[in-house]
Amino acid sequence: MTKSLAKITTEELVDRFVDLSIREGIASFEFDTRTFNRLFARHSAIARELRSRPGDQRFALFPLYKHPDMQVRLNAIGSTFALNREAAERELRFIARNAPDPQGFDARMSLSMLELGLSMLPDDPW
Amino acid sequence: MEDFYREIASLRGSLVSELFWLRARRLGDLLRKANFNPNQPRVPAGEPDGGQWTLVGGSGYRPPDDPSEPPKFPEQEPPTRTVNAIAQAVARYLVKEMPSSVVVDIFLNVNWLAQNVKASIQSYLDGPKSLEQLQIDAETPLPGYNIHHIVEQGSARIEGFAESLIEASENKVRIPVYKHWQITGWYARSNPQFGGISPREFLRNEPWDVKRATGLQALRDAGVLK
Repeated sequence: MTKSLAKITTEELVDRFVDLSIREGIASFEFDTRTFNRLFARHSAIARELRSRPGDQRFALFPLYKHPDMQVRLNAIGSTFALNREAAERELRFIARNAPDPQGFDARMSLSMLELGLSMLPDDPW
Repeated sequence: MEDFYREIASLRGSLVSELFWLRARRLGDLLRKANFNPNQPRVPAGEPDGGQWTLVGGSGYRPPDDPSEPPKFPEQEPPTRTVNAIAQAVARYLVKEMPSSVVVDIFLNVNWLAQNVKASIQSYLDGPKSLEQLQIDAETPLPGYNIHHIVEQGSARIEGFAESLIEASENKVRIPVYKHWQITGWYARSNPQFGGISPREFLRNEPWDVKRATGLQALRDAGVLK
């Protein structure tokens, strides 16, 4: 039986976030949308759980901005953008310029959506 | 004027083809220098011994995180989904590295790759084009390319937009297969930008102009449109 997220330590949640994100990156590369969306729902649940903890513990995801896996970086940025906007945008620009697709493309689209005013990230949709 | 564009397109196609094989030669050279072992699985990046590729359950293929590293792949033909993943890894490596000598032995040795997805790899190497050129190209289907609707046709039909608008030449472009998949994948995947729903869902009921602006931006960000 799956342990409730509320009973898991922040450190362990971050580990799970990384694992799910790496698998998302593979699914994205293979155009496996169904798997990607299933994993996305799970990493989002972790972000929401961290947010609900005293002091909003999503700050534990900040170090993932420099994770070697680009999907981990993207997911960490997407989960914490409003808390850390300057660093998040800087890292998005780095990924947009340097990461291979699909993550590079996703980062460029994220920046474009911000510029077009269509992105909800500044309002912290979590 | 139309003949002129067709001639230019044809010349460009020949040039791209030559460039593709030049790059392929370079890939072969690099893989030999790296003591290429096509059957060697690698562990995911991020692990202490992170490498370039591995099988991740089912037919999962993990490409190099660094596109300047030559991708590795098996000698035997893997499942179709993996073929496409490998082809993309090869294509993006070729785009990134612009290798310069001439041999195709890596693809002749791994001929399942060349036989199945050569056109898709070649098309991936196209540079960005003007919107007018992409629209003209859409009149001539080619292997390795898909006809792409700038405003997604499925959603537009569900929302009741006129067929004359959806199928208008202004709404159709011919783009490389993997770029097409990449863009449609972005539309379909859950996205934190839109509160966790997909861009396709988010854009539902938005006006045509907003959908078109998003579609054009996707073409630019994919490196298809100048």
